[in-house]
Amino acid sequence: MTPAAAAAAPTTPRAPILLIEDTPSLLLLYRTVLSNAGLAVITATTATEGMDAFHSSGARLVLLDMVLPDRNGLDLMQDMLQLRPDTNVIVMTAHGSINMAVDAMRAGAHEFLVKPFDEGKLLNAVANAGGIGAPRRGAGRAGATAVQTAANSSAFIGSSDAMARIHAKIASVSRSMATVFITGESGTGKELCALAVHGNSPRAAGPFIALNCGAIPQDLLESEVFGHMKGSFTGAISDKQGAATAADGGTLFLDEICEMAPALQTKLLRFLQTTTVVPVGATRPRKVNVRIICATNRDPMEAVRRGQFREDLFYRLFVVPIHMPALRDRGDDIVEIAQTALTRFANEEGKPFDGLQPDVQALFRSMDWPGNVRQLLNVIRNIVVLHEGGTVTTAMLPDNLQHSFGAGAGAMTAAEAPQSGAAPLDLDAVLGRPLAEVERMIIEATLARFNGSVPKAARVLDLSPSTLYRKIENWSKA
Amino acid sequence: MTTLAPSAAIDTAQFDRLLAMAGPGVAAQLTAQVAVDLAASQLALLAALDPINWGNLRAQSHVVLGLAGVVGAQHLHQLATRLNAAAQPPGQNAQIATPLGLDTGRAIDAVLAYLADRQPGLVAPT
Repeated sequence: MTPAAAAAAPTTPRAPILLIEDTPSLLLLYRTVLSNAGLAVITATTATEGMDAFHSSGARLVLLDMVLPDRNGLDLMQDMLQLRPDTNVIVMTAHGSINMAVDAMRAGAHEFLVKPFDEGKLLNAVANAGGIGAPRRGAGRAGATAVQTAANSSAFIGSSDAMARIHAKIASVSRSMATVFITGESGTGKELCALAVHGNSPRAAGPFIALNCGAIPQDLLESEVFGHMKGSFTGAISDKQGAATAADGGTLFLDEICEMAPALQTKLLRFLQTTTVVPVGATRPRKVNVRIICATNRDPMEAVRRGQFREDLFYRLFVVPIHMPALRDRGDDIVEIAQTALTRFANEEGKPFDGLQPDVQALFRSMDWPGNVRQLLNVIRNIVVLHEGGTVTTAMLPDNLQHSFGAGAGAMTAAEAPQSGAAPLDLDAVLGRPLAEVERMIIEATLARFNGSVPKAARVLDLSPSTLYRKIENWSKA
Repeated sequence: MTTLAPSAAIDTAQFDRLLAMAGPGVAAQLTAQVAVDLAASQLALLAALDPINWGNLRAQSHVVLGLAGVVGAQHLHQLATRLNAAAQPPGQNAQIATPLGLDTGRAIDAVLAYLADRQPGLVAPT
């Protein structure tokens, strides 16, 4: 520890920042930048010295070089987090050691900086970690009522092993600034997972802004993400704050990230690197403090291989992956979710339902559920709306499920085949109609052909199921 | 293999910004310390080439690329980045790393000469 920094510590109420860096000139430079920003800093040049300083100083923010002469920085960080879990560790590494930095993020690091980085990036990372102005992570967690525990993430019903692993992962990743990449089939609850990560994080009191990259026209997406200035394009009648700015201090959830146009991927990458946004038509960038969570129902690596998704952006985002299990892989969760939904919908509709008959439960367990939880909830809603109450029997099930009854587990899978009765769409019937109307006709015809299965229709139409669900929802509102 | 003139070894504007950021009280100390660190890394890096020691090559190229990037020594930064990548397992190849290591050593010489030019009284370590 340098005596000068130690002497500075008592004058500030906040615990000093611990800087561990073995290259003296870099140590001198970083310490100077931090000190010039009015921060108390203590320094160490080896892992042993760093651990001693960590013990004695009470530091809650550590800037840690990953390559140290006496010990791997990752191991040192893990020891520190075990000792004081509310510590924010910013790891610093050279480009060639990025894999190590990613491992560090997965192990609980708050953020990583790739050398060389400038003064702005260093101070921004420190500010994000609570070193400038913001409350410390631990303090936020103790005091904020908005912060949930993983156990009460009520969005996730189910006690299967698969969901227990999801709960554990959410609990461990929430405390970090690491970008979370959620994958899973449509309807598995990716957005709820993102909400749970946000709700369990020190940013829970901040905004959670969700943006569906597949549902917004590509030419408007940049404006939606970064905002625009009045007059920057036709229709920009006033300044508009983008999602990235609206999420300042909180979390930005980018759903269906693989649908993002290549040009915007480049801008997103720049945003991630600089943490600044430049609204369309603006000349000056604005600094924001945002945690990114993204999701897709596609295989992101496949999108990279096909050249549809930038590899560098993928690696920047794919820090902590969470894969949401399909409903069919969640065992008794299916019945648990159905029972809970039945109680909820029955209360909403004021009808006395009191459970599911065993054969209904058995059928539910055996089904493929291609639409996952969303499909199951729709089935339960359908039952509650169309019946007066009692115990749910197979006779109350929607027609398409009743057909499955008796056919066994493979019934829904067999429905992959198009329904032969669906009427073909005649070209004469669509010529001369507005494009939006034609689109709707084609989608509805495709849905009819696949017995109403949104995932299957989406696959044929080369759309994401979420996009299709939203279109259907919009039509029902119109 | 190319040897850069000292004037081409560093982006002067970036180096000036670095010194301005450090402030007049620290600028001279920082310049001297960068020279000392680069010279020490150069020695350790060249020693790690024969016999080849991958761990030391990774560690020293890591130091050099961090330093080179900070001071605006772009050519050195590129060489050190490539050397660091070549020293990462798997796929380490001495036939690639050795010439890269020698080029990196020469590029350090150019940066040290620049630093000596910039700061009268600074004796570039050799």
